[in-house]
Amino acid sequence: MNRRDLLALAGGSVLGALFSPLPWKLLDDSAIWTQNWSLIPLLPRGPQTFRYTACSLCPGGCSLKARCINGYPVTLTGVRSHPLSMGTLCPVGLAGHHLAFHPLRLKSPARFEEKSQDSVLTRATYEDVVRTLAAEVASVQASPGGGTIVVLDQRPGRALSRYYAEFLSAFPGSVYAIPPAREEGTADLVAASIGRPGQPYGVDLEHAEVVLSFGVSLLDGWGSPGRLHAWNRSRKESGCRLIQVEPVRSRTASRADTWLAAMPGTEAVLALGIGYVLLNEGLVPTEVTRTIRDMDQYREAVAPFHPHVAAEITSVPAGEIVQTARLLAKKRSVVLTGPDPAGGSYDRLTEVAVAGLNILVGSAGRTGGIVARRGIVETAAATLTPASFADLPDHSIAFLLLDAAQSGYTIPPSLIRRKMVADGGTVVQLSPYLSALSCCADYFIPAPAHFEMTEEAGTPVDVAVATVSLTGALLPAHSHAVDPARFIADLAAAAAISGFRSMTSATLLRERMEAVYTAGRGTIWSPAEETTSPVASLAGPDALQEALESGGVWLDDPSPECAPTEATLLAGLPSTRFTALLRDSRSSGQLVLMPAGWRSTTASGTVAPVLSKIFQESDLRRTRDRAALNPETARHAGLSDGDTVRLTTPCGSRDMTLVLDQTLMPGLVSATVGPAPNNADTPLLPTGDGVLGLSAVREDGTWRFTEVTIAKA
Amino acid sequence: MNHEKQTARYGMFIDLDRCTGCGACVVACAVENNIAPAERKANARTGVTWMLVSTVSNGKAFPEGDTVFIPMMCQQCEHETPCVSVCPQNAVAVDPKTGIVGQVPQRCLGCRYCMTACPYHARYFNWWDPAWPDGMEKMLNPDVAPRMRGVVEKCNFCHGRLHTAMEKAAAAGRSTIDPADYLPACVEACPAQALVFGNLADPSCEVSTAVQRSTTFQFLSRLHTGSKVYYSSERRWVRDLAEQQVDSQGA
Repeated sequence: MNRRDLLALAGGSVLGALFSPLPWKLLDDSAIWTQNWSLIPLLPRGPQTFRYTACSLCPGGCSLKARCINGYPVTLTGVRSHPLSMGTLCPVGLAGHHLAFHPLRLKSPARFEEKSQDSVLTRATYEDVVRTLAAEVASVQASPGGGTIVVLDQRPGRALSRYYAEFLSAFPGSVYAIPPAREEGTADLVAASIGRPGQPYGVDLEHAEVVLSFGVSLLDGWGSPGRLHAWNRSRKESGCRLIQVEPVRSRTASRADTWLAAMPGTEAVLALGIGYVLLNEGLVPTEVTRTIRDMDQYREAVAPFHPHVAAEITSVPAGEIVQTARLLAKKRSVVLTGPDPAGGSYDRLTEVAVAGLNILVGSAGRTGGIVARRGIVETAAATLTPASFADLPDHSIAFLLLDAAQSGYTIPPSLIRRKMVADGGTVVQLSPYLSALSCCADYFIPAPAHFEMTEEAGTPVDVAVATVSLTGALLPAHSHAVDPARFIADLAAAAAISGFRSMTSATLLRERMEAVYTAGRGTIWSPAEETTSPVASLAGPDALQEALESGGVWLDDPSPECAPTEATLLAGLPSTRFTALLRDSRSSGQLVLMPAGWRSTTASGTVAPVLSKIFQESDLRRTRDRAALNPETARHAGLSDGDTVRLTTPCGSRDMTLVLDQTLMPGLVSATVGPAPNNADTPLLPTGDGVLGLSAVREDGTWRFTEVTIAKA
Repeated sequence: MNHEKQTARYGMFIDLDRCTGCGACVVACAVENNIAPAERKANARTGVTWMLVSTVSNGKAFPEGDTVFIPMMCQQCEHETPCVSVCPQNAVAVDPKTGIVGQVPQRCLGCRYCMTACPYHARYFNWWDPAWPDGMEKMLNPDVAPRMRGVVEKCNFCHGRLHTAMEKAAAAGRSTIDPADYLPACVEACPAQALVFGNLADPSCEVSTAVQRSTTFQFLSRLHTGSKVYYSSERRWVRDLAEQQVDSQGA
């Protein structure tokens, strides 16, 4: 063999190898070798366990089963057999276990050095913050007329809520406040209308034959989602008709039997138009008319709203208004309003007009309507009548504590600022993360994240009986997280409040368990056994707590049906306020801005980063700063899809990205208040109000509709 | 040529009239399959969403405008599976026993030929290294391997759950799995119960009955891909979408 032979052999081998599997195998294997990159996360290893518990990210309180590896939850699924949530978890709840590691997690107490455009968060020690806040509280108390102390509890009704009330009772003149936008709005007004203010009510949807909903997102986040979806599936068989009133063909409206596209801001006129038909066609039962004390005033109020007049103002055909009234009267009906997660509640007149319809159709206190449920028995002595935050006098709050729990519904930062005293006062936010209201706060106390502490998941608004369920502690708490009850106790001690009970969330829960057990009412449903047992069959409060911490739910006994013996329809308001709507509701031709959002997703800090799948990596849900417009309206304004547009209201201007949406009524601008789940924004600046900064907050504390102009930016 | 007898044909039925576009299926899929949150620059075109729910309108003016939410994932094509034939790495394979089109990211070169071949745009490329916030890796699903930058991934009907069901059956001495033990995460999560999953080869299965409805259709059936994901809607305009190329927000 000579050199030429060797070269021929080498060349032939190379050529031959190309026709063999070798190069492809090398290519293949190199792909595998290079997959060993340093960023590969180490997957958890360890024993697999399952825990039943409840989600407390919103008042829905959905039951869930957590699959845990090495003690950490990796997957959450709904519990199908649960009597209320029926196997459903919303997208926010499905990734709730990720929240403990959210990039916006507060990792220590902090404060803004000063409220200015350049403010940054500065870490502080817990003891320093408590000491400073105690001095502030003492200073407020020592200056009568200098402002009040207020706790804004976004999830009233918990054992912790009672503790806040106890704390406030040590400060004369202090206020226990609840959010202005609450799902309980209809129920609260109905209760007040029939002379039972403060009585909790639920909705007996399963036995209703007609549901007239004013803007309630029944199939998109209201109440207990699992129950609402199950109810919707059963409607075909049960014949229950859903009539949805809103200016958008929303997810709920598209599945309703009838969609009444009322002009935004004219819902009260529609309700009064329906009331007109009910009265003038003699459709109100005599036994109901007999109980109404202000029937004459109501007649005066509805007199101008003949269906043709109401139709002209609302754009809902007169025939539809008449048909709706007749249907409500003929069947077992219930009428609901609900806040928009970003836009808040309707104005007072609308809420009253809608609540009045429930009285007229006799839905209050009867099967298939608004049904009374008992309050959970309490042992704590202190009670404070809750006040709506919106009803507090402007510039009256010197010290405001924002509770950590989220109601799922937003509050405009401008409303918070409006209620604070002239120099801004002191705002303390208890929260696991920076969130929507962080731009208003001066001090931050990091609360435990979801699943880090046993918490109460309260009664969903739509349920006809009181319930208690607990979110168990599936994760170890971070060392910096402060139990809200402990913070209150420490603050009270630092402020030298004598006789104040030092409690923790655990001891407060224990008290609640004792109260529920001692009352002897209700049943416990257990997810593991899928059985229901009377509370009285349990060994004691410890057994009750154990059952709830194992994912069970306590269901109260139903309250006996009790039709009202007296009622009012106008909530004490003069009829002239309603007749004035004839003039005030007419469209000015101006575009109307409506902030829009999806429950529990109006701020980045409150949703897990993986929700970028629906907010950023798809168009399924609009992320923040998107302005949606009907294509026809956009064409008239010379705008196209994707344009950067400037929205201007009396409150300011903001640039947003335009999205064309033909499900929106012409003339309506729907601006999203939503998260940017994985943007991990820098801490919100004091003026970071976002879209809500454009909304004019009215005298009654509502901000649902604001006149706006739009132009290319 | 399949030498082993296929014993199941897993498929899905989606009732588009029930789907409310809530996104629970999308999030459940991402949590189950260790799909990382979006990179800051990612958008609808460059993100990774094995399950993608598109919003499509009927193009009519208000108030006649209507929308449908279409959950779209790998359609598990049965005939001449397009992505299988184009892959130079044999990183895509159809499991003859289940009919599931599997993706092997470890073999993937990232040539994206399969993405070009897929008529349903149901394959996703990792343009960036997946990253989770510090500490969140403790909550990843140990049954699903994470992927890296430069590879393609797609829905595989939660293959990990199939394996878990098979292990459970084997532990109980059974050769076949209990259908109740194998449900993809999206089906399990759907609050409207719009998704039905099961063995299309079993006539007693709910999915087999559902696909017989007169309102059932497959997307792009003219391509004869043999998609094992069936859709249904009472609305004629929705069924008419089946043969069109649709983008989100429009027809």
